[in-house]
Amino acid sequence: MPSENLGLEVLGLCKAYEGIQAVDDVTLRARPGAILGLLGPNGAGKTTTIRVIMGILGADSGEVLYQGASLTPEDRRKFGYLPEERGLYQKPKLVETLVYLAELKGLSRAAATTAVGEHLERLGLADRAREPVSALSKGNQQKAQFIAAVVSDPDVIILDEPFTGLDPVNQQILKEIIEEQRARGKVILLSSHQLEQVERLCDEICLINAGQVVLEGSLDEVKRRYSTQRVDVTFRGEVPGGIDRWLEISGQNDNKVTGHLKGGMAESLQGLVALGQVEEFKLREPSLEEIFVAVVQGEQE
Amino acid sequence: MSNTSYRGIFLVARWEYVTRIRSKTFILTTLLLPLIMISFSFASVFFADKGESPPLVIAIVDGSGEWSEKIGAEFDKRYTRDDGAVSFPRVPLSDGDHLTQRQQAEAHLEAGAISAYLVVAPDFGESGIIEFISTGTAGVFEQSQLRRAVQQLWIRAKLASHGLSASIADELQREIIWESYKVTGSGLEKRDRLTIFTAPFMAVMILFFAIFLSAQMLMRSIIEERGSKLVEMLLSSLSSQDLMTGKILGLGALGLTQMGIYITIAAIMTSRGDFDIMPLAQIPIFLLFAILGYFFYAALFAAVGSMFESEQDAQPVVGPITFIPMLAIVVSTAIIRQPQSLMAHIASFFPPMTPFVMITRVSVTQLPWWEVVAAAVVLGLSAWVMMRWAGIVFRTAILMYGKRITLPEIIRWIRA
Repeated sequence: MPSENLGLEVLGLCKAYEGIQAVDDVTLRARPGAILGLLGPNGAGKTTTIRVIMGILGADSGEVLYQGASLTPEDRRKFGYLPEERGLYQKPKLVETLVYLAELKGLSRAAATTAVGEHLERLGLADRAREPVSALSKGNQQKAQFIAAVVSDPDVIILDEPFTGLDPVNQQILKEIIEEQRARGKVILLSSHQLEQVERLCDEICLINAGQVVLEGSLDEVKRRYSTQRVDVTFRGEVPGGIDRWLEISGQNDNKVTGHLKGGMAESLQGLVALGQVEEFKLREPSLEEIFVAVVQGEQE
Repeated sequence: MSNTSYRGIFLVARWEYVTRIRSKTFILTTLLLPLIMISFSFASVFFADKGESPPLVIAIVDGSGEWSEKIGAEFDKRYTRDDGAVSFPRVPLSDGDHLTQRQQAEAHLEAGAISAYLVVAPDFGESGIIEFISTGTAGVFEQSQLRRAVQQLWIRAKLASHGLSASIADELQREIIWESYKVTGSGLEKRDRLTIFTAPFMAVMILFFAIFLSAQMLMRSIIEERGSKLVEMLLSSLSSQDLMTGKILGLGALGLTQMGIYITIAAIMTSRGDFDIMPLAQIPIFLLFAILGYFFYAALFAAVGSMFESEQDAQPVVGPITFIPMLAIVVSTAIIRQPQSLMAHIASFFPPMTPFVMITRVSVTQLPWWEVVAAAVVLGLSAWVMMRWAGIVFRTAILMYGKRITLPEIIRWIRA
C-alpha cells in the first residue's frame, strides 16, 4: 500500500546531548495535504527532532523516512525549512539574498526572481526589497526568512516556531499561506510551544514533553478522546442531590455543574435525567492546552 | 553526501564573489596595498633626487694647519647644494695650537654656532685618525660623505708621497662598475641592486595580501553563517562539502581578481621603469604557487571559522596562524641573499612556507625544474589533505551545535 508510506516519517528517534536525553523514542508522521503540529513546552525536544530531520544533527538511533525510503540529502533539497533561530545575510539586499536561497533550492534565476517578487508583495515587503537585510525590523526579517522557506515551492515545509515574534496580522497572513500550501498537497510540519496559537491550524498533532511523545493523532480524534469525560450539565431549578454518583464535580455555578463523567455517556445521562430536570447536557471540548496539562499530569501521577 | 552539486557549488561561489567584491573591505584593501607601493616608490625617488638636508656647520681642528684648508676645499668641491651654497659651511678657528683650537671648537659647539667639529690628529698623515664630535644632529649620511672626502684626500696625499700624481691617484680611487645579470629562459636579464631585493619582496607581499585577505574573508563568511544559523538553511539545499568548496572557489576567484589588479599595477610600474617587480615568464609559476598556497590557507581558515560562532572568539587562534606566513616572509627575505642555502631547501618543502619561499627563490635564482615541480606537488598534496580535514571539522562542528569545542576533540576529528 504505497499511500501508507507517503509523506515524512520519524521512527524511534533518540538523541542525547551531554547526558541529557533530548529526544527519547519519538515517532511521528506527516502526511501530504495535512498540517502536523509538533507541540510541546520549551525544551521538549521539538527543535532537536526537526534538526535531525534536516540532517543538521545526527541521531543516536532511529530513522527518518521520506516517501517510504530513508531520507537523502537529495530529498532535503525539496524541503523548505525555517529554523528556530533566525538570521539572514545582513549586508546584501533582501531580494538578492532571497533569490540566492531560492536558486540553491533548484529554481532558475528567472523563476526565483518572479517567485520572490510575488512573495514579497504578498507579505508587504515589496518596498523593502532593495534594502539591506540589516535595515529591516525583526518581524520583517522573520517574514523574509519565512519567504525563504516557502518560495521554492517545496514538497515538504518544515517550520520551527513560525509565529513567534509576529503580530496577529502577520500571523494571519502566514497561516493563510500555510493553509494554501496544505490545499496544494504539501507535507507540512510546524512546531510551536504556544498551543492555542496553532490549535485551529493543525490537522494532526504530536504533543511531546521531556523528549517523549505524550499524545498524537488527528486533532478531531484527540479532542473527541478527551471530551467524552468532561461535561457541563444545566438543571432547570435546583441542582438535585446525588449527582456525584455519575459525575465528579469540578465546579458549580448556580444550576450549572461542570465535571467529569464517571461512567459511560448514555448511562450517565440516563442517571442524571432520573435525578432532576436536565435543561442542557453539553460535552465540553477541551483546549489542547487543557488536554496537554491533563496528559502530562496524568503521566506524573 | 556523495552527490556533488556543481550548480550548488557554482551558486555559492558566485554569491561569495559578487557580494564580497562590492564590500568596502575588499575595495579598501585592494586599493591600499598598491597605494602604499606607489607612494613608497615615489617617496624613494623624491628623497633620492632631493636628498638634501640643511647645511651642516662645522669646524676643523688642525694644530698643524696643514690639513684643514685641503679638507675644507675637498668638502666644498664635492658637496654643493642645488642653490649653490656649500653643504658643510665652516666656522674658522684662530691659528692657535691644537689644544686652543679644540677648546674654541668646543665653545662654538656649546654656543650652537656649529653642529660638529672634526679633529685632525697631529700625525694624521701617518695614522689617518680623525675624530668627529657632534651634538648628534649630523646623521650617518653626512658622516659618510665627510669620511669619503677625507679618505680620498688622505690616499691622494699618501700616493703623492710615493711620487704619484693627483690624477693617477683619483683614477685609482674610482669605483669599478659592477653589473648583475640573471640567466633566464629568454636570455640575460639585467638587474640593479633595487631589483635584487625589492622585486621578490614585493612579490611575496602581494602573495601574502592576496592569500590572507581571501582566506580571512572565507573565515568571516563561515563564522557569519554559523552565528546566524543560516548554515541550517543552506545545508538543506546542499552538502557541507559543496558549501565549503563553493566558498573556497568564490573567494579564491576574488583573491585572483585582487592579484590581477596588483599585477597590472606592477606591470604598469615596470613599464615605466620605476620598479621591476616580476618578469612575465615568472607569472605562471607565481600563479601556481599563489593558487596552491591559497587552497592550503583557505582550508586552514575555514577549519578555524567552523569552530567559532563569532570573530572575537576566533581571534586567539587566528593570531598564531597568521604568525606562520609572517615568519615565512622573514625567512623569504633571508633567502633572497642565499637562495640555495640548506634553509632555503628545507623551507621550500614546508607547506605553510612553500608558496612564499618558492616565489622568492624563483625570482632570485635559477632553480632546477624538478625542485619547482616537487615543491608544487608537496604543497598541492598538503592543501588537499588540509581541505579534507577542514571539511570534517566543518561538518562535525555544525553537528556539535552550541557546544564548546575543545582541543582534544579537534585532535580526535583529525584522527577520525
